[in-house]
Amino acid sequence: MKYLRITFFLLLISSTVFSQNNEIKEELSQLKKQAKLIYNEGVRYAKNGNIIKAHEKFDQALLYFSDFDLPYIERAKLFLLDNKTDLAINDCNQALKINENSGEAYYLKAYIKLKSKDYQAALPEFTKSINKGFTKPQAYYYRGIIHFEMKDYSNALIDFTLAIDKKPNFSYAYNERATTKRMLNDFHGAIHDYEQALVHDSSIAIVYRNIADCKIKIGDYENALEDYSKAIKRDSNYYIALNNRGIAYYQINNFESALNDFSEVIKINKDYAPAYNNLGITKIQLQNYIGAEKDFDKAIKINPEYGEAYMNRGHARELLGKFSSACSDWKKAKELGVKEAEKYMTECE
Amino acid sequence: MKFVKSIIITILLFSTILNSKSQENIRIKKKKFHIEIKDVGFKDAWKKIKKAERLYSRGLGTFPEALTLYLKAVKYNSECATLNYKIGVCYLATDKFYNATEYLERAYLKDNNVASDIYFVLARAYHLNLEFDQAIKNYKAYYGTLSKKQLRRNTLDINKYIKECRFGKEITTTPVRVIINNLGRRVNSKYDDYNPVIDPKQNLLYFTSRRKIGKRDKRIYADNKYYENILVSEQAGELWKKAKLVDNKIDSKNNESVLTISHDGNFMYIYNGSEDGGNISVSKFKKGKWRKPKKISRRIRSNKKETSITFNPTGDEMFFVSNKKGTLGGMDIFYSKKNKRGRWSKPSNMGASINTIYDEEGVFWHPTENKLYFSSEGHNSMGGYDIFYIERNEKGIWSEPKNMGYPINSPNDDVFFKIDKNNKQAYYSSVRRSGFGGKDLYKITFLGEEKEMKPTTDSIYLAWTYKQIDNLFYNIPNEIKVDTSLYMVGKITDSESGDKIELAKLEIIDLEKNKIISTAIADTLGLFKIKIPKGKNFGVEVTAKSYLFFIDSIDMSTKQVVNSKIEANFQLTHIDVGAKMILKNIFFETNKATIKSESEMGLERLANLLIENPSIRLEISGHTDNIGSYKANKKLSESRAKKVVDYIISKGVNKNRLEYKGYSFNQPIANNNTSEGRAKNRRVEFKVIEK
Repeated sequence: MKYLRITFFLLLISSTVFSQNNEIKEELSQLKKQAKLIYNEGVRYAKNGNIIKAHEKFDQALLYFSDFDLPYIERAKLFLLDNKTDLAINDCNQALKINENSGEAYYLKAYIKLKSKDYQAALPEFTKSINKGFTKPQAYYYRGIIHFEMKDYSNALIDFTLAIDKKPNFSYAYNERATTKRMLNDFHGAIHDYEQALVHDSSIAIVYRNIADCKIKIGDYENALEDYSKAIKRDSNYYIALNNRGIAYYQINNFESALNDFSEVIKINKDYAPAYNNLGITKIQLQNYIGAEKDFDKAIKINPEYGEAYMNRGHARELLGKFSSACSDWKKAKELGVKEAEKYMTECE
Repeated sequence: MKFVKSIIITILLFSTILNSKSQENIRIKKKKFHIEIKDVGFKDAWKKIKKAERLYSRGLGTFPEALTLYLKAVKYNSECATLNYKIGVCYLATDKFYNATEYLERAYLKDNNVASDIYFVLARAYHLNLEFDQAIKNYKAYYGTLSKKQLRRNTLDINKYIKECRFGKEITTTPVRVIINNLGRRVNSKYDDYNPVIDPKQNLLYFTSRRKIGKRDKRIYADNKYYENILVSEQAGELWKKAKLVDNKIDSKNNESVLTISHDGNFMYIYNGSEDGGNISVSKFKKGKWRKPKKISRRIRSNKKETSITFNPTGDEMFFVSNKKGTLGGMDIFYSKKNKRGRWSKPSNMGASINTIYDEEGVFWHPTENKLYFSSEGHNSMGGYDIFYIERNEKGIWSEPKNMGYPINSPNDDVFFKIDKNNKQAYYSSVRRSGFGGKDLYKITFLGEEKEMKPTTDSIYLAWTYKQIDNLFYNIPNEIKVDTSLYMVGKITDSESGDKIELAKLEIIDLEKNKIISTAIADTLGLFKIKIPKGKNFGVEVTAKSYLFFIDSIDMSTKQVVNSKIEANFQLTHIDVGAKMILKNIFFETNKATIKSESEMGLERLANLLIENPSIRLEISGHTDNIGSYKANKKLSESRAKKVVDYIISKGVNKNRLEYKGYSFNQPIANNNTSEGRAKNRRVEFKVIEK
């Protein structure tokens, strides 16, 4: 009888515990469901570009149910858009704690490393993200960029091609593949890819500039000038295109136009050392050696490691009859890795 | 020396112009200069013309003053051909030669016979301005205007000019890499300044000038220019200080010019115009001063001119320029060597491969190399004197003279070239656009090989680094599928025993669409969970083997939703004889036996019951409320029961398995006093009458 009572009592307890567990489970399930619904609201806000509201909703979803990886991932993206990389990394790590197979969390971490130019660290993270099933075109695209930056052009070519396969209108991937081809001296192939990039998005100024750069390489200066102008038309502040158009003018001996372009570059970005260097070489052609020397001075002041500017200043100084200072400049240029400077050193002996 | 030389050269150059002028006496005629309808300013302009004409006729030395006045007069009448011609000619004689073309062209356009030598002076203007094709054309045109006598006298010169132009065309296509800078106002003047000599010891620049100096303002008859004097300038960094006249020990009232300073800096060789028609003397540098010059070795002196001299670095070889006996024509370079006893050998002509029938001038031996520089009007000159060099090989054989190239050489006179030991810089005299007047001293900076300029393109090639695609990483998220539907949970039991019924089937029916929207099977405990529509009533049907089916509609307003669930338990009646069931989902039109279409599902279910249980027989009974007569209700209830039977038979069930009866209002199941009660009483039932 006694045992019967104990048994009955135990049964009562266990049934109570079971019932409590079920209630907790039920409650958690409800919280998760609620968190998911709030997360979905955040997603809708994000899609509509209301970043602040989206952020609020992801925070709220995590308050409801913290063991939920997706709000962390989406919030990490929003942090990244706001350049808060530390917070973004923290959220990615949280997401990975909850779900170690989250390919997108690896992808975001990899992207952050890529942004900080830590290519060695970013490369395996992108590969991990792809292996975990995150096979979005961007993953291949960014891995391609890393390969490119690490001068592994063959693998870069493969990744950009995979990105294009996944997203046939991926204009940026076309641009990067073109640039990779360009590095492999396939200028005609590069122009073809750049043109494909424009088919899908004709607003990207850099593509016109890139086409123009390739045309310069194949000696098609006239058309290159036209393409640079298109790039500048699409982004009047695009000083790199202006700088390169200036170079194109320089190459066809239109020094006045080159001078104008380089001067415009400086108006847009007064700290852009190459523009001063290019202004200097143009002034040399126009026989304004004193002006040229001053321009090279400015380029060197902005970038004291600017080997080409030292070399060119050496030329200007030579033309001014300042042989010893010209030699000092060529020597410095040589030290900074400008190979061409070496041959002028014999004149200094 | 050079001044004599240069006078000769300029006289030769302009002799044709002067001759033609004298032939035709082309003076500016008042009548042609005066504009009839414009008296204002004429008097003053004509006064200037008259004064200018006097200066012009005096010679080259006063051409610049004449030019100034002509240029004032031309403001009154710019269309006068003769005036334009004279301005052009004056310009040709100055370092502003590049202005000559404009005036000469205008003179020619106004009157193509303005002067017999108009083609020649035009050709000279084009020639000096490097317009060689035009120059050749005009030289040839001039050729055609000459008389036989003139041809005999001038053919050689004209052909030489044409040859110079042809060579000029060739040489200007491959300019040498040099920078030529004027030594500046502190050294040069508006007069001729030439023959630079660098004193290596003292960093001094000696040179010869024909500027006006104080009271020494006499002009030489030959060219109407001032006397030659020696000036000196001290070097101050990159610049030269203001030039001063040298000590009168080495510069007298006569024409003097420093020719060279020995490589050791101890001897200065000076030209003295008053000695035997021009001779060389030497001054020794002693105790910080140049001593009074003494005559040079008798071996060198002649009764002709010796105008330039240079020595090799060891001082035992001498090269000098003279028109003495043994010349091939005009001034030639002679050579002498010192013997062991220190005596100079008899000078010998350098030979026809170096000297020409034209003048050679300005010899200079390189400070360290076996190289002799000189100027020549012959060889392949592009005009006037050009600078050449010859090299002597180990066997003592001289190379062919090589032109120093353009732009060191020009169609004007380029003379007295002195180069430093490193071949980096040289000084000489020339007539160039950047001059201050007449000949000027210039520094040549020799550049090395062509330098490659390095323009910098931006090395960022990838689009992703471009600011506009910073958010390319952003993958648009997808919403998660969240089950927000309601569920009905409960248990299915036997109506009599209360036992669980396993594997009973539940179906939820959308009453509006009369469509099954979800299905569930109860588990082994008889428990079920089935999705139900949100916010509206729905039908439920429960079936289980050996049990009568259950059909009902759920009114959500009567249910409490907890955690997305409502609770409902169902009891099924086992199929036994006497078991009966109200067919709740069968509807008739009011007071009629016409079955409404929404009853179809319930009727189907009943037919299926009979099909699935082939041994049972049923009685279908109709019931009414108590409104109306018994008879009428009896008839209505019976008709309704029959209609149900007919439908089932139409589904293939044997009619013998069915009976029907109308009970009117005799078997109420609720109170007929309320509408709800009456509604319940209006029904069709079936009962198992055989199993």
